[in-house]
Amino acid sequence: MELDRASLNKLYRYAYTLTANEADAYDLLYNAVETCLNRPSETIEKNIAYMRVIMKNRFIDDYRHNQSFPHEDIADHSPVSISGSSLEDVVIASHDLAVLWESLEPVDREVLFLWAVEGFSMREISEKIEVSRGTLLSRIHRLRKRLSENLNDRQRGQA
Amino acid sequence: MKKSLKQPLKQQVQNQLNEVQLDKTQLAALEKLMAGGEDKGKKGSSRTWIPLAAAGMFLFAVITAFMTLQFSQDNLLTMPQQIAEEVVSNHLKLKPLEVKTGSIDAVRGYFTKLDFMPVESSLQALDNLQLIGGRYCSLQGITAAQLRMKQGENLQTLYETEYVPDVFGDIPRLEKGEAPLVVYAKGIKVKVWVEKGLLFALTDSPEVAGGKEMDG
Repeated sequence: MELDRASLNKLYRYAYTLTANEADAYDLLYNAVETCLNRPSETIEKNIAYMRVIMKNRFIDDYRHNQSFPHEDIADHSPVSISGSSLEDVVIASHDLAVLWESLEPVDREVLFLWAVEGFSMREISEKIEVSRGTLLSRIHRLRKRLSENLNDRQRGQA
Repeated sequence: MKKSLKQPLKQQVQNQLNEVQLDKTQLAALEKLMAGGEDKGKKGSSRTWIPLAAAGMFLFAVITAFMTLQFSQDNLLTMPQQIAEEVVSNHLKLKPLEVKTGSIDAVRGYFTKLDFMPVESSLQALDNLQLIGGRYCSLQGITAAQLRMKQGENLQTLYETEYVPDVFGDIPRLEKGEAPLVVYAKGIKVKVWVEKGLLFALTDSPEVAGGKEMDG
C-alpha cells in the first residue's frame, strides 16, 4: 500500500479533528493504516476513504458514541430558515479558534473540517456524517451561536 | 497582549489544521509500516503460478484451514493468553507517551478519565523498574492505563485496569498469596495478576531498547 506524505498528513489532520489531541490522532492513524494493510483497496483514493471510516468508527468506539456523537435529531427544534452558508460570514481570531477548538464537540469539529478543509457542500457533509440536511443545518446554527457566545464571554472577561 | 487578526472562520480552520503535521519520526514509522504491508503484497503478486501448482496450493490451504479450525476449536486461547497477546502487541509498538513522568501521583493526575485509580503494585519484579510515563489504552475492550517502565536500557510495559471477573476470568490474586501467572506471547514473558482490585499485566522483555522510543 502506498500513501504519500501529503495524504498521510491529511489523514492525520482528520484524526486530529476528531480527537483534538495529537497523540490520540497519531494512535488513530497508526491503527487505521494497520487495519487497511489487511484489506488494501486498488486505488489510493479508496484507501484514504476506507481509513477515514476506520478512524471514525474507532474513535466513536473509544470515546463512546453517545457522548461524542449524540443521536438526537435537533431538526425538529430548530429555526425554520437556516442558511446553508451561515458559517461563511463568521470571523474569528486564530487564538480564539485555538482556544475554542478543544471545547467543541467532535462532530462539530468534523463538520468544520469537511466544510473548510475538504470544501464539501452542506449536502455532501450531511451524507458524510450520516445526518439529515435539516439536522446538519441546525447543528451549524447552534455552532455559530456557540462561537458567538464564547467569543462574547471571552471579550467580557478581557474587559 | 498582542491581538491576533480576525479572519473568516473557514480560513482560520484551514490555517489551524495546516499546522497539524506528522513529525519525521511518525512519518518514518508509518512509511515503514506501509512498506512492510507492500512487501507482502509484492511477494504474492510477483510469483508466477502454473495451474497445477495453484491447484495444489489451494488444496493444501483448504486442508490446512480445516485442520487449523479443528485444532483451534479444541485449543482456544485462554484469557490470560489473550491478555498477554494484546499487551505484547502494544508493548512492541512503543507508541508515544501521553504523559511523561516518574511520579505515580502525576500519573494519577493525568488518568482522570479512568474508572479506577492507578496504583503501585507490591510485586517484587517491579522493584527494579522506574516509571517513565503512560498513555490511555484498553485491555480486552476495557479502558486501561498503559504505563511504561525503564529497567536499565530496556523498556517494559505495565497494564493496569479494573479487574472485571466476568471478562478476565479467574486470575491469581496477590493478596491471597497466589503467584502471578506467567504467559508467553510472541516470545515475550508476561506476568498477569490481580492486586488491590486491579488487573495487572507486566512484560519482561529484554529485547526492546530505550533508544527506540518515539517521542511523538
